[in-house]
Amino acid sequence: MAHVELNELVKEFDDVTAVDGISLDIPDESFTVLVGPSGCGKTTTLRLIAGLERATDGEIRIGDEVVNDQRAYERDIAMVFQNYALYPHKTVRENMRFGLEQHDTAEDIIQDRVAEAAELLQIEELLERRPAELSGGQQQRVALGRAIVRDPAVFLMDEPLSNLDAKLRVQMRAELNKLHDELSTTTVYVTHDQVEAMTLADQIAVMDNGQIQQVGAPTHVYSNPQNMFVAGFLGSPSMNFLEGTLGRDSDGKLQLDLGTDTHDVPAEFADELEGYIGERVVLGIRPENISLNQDGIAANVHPATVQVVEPQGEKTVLELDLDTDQTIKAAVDPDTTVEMDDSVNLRFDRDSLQYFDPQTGESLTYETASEQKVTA
Amino acid sequence: MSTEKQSLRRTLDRLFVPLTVGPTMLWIAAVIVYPTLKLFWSSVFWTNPINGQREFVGLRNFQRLIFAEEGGAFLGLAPDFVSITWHTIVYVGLSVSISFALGLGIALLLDKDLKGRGWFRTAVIVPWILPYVMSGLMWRWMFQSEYGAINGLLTQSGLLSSKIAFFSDGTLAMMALIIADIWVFTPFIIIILLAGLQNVPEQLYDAAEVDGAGRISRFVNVTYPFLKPSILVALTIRIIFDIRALDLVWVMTQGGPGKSTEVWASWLYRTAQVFNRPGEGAALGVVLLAVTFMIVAVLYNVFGDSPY
Repeated sequence: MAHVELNELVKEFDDVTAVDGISLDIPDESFTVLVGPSGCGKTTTLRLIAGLERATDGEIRIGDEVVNDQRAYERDIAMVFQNYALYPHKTVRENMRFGLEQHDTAEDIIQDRVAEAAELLQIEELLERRPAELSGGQQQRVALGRAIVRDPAVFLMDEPLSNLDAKLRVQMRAELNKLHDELSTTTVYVTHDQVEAMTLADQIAVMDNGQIQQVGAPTHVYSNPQNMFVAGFLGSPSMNFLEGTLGRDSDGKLQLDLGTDTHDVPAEFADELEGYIGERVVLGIRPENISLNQDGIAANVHPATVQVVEPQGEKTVLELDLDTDQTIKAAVDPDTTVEMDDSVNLRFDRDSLQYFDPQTGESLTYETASEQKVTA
Repeated sequence: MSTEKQSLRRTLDRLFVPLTVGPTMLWIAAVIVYPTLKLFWSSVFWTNPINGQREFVGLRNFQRLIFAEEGGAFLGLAPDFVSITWHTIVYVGLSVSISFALGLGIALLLDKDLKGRGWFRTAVIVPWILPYVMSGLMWRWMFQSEYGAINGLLTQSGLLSSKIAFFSDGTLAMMALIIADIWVFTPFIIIILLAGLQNVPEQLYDAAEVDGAGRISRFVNVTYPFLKPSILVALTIRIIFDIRALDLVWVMTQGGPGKSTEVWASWLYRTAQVFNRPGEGAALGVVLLAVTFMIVAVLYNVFGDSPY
């Protein structure tokens, strides 16, 4: 077991900076997920930790040791690859043994470890088969087994579930969770799938453009995004952004002018937003925090017209046109009976509002919003 | 559907397979089966070179080629057969193994991200796309005793005091042949192996690196298993080409000096075409075919199982 620390890590490929000075603390025994869109640098970061790429600058520590100059096999890590990367001509047993053999491990230890891992992953009956004779899910288990037998300080997993079908992915996700509970090995996991990230991680690091946008517990990051990228990336359907000019209403309260509609800013954000009066500000609201106002006209509702109704089972997603011509998505109760072209009033849950600077994308109300959630 | 239509349909269904596969089968019969049978057939006849009359002689042609005998007494293997077989083994064995080793090395190099790789990949094919006869003529000139480039290089650089008559010495002539053959056919190996190397999934090298496999272990455990199908193709085609290769030998040495570079292909050609003994030529062809088949069978045994 070991903690992993990245300090100002940089990786450049010719003209491209894939990893742009990231710092990240991965606590011992944690399950940390690097999540972000394709090309955000998450896999490169993982490969840097693995030793499959050499850092251009910065420092990688595993345990208390700086490992920048160590080869992959010297780093006490094991890796699970997206395409499993099993040796096709070797049996499952040989695949699992291989790493230990290369490290001159004693034969009895090899046998014990393989037997233990096979039992843990329930692949005992597959040990004499070759990878081509296994299903995707079984190959994935073998790939995990190959990592487990090494008993490494850190597991590195590069989108290990992305080649599985949806059902198997959910199942393997649960198993990975269980496995981590049992082994408690520090795990760094890369995925572009935010659901995987949210369900597996104790800590997620959202990446974009080679930089870490935000680190934290999944629910915290989800509810309190530090910038518009994080806010938009996590969640499906993603957060709605409505841009307007910040001003005051007749009572002197902060109000966002959305054009033909206005939005009253809750009083607790007044201090943080005070300085932005007269400037453009983006309001962020998640679809699930929007409800249809059934009680007639009330304060702070927004008239809209239903454009698309998508029943998804556990919820119904509505695509609506606001009077301001902005499009917005709402996830509402599946029993809601609305149809296309219906006129509705939308109510935004006032505890779930976020405000961003459209220029920098940074959250203007992160401090208040996160405090609020903590006290609530 | 009317019964008439139905019966037409049934007839068409019945004819579908013969109509689609038939032309191919006929073509195969015409260009493969017939010539092969004809070869076997011709090998058991003796043709009178003067009046062209054919006489059935059974296995006599084979006997005359392979065994030495006098007045019905068996004296062992025919000296020609032994020496020409030996030349063929040396020629094929050395050219194939050296060009394979060279080709593998160059393919591994070209598979890496080297500067100018694209240019080199193209340049490397040139010897192979030249007509063999042209390559043969070029190498004959290169090894020429008076004005040849190789003699020039060796004497001018001071490595040799006097010029060598490569084609007057059996061993040197064989060496010249082998060098030319390697030059011509190594690109073929490179192309096939390079294509094979592209099949090795990058992640397997990563996995091997993480597992702690060194350079040799990576080659043995990752590259080689994926390369096996390509090695099989490269070696099979290469060996078959060399066993029947006549062009280079005929253009460069014509089997000489004496019979010192005579190989099976040139022996066959000489027997059938120069000495006008089609029966014996055909018998040699049968032997060649059998040997080739055996070699291919061995190759398939060694490299045949694919990792997939």
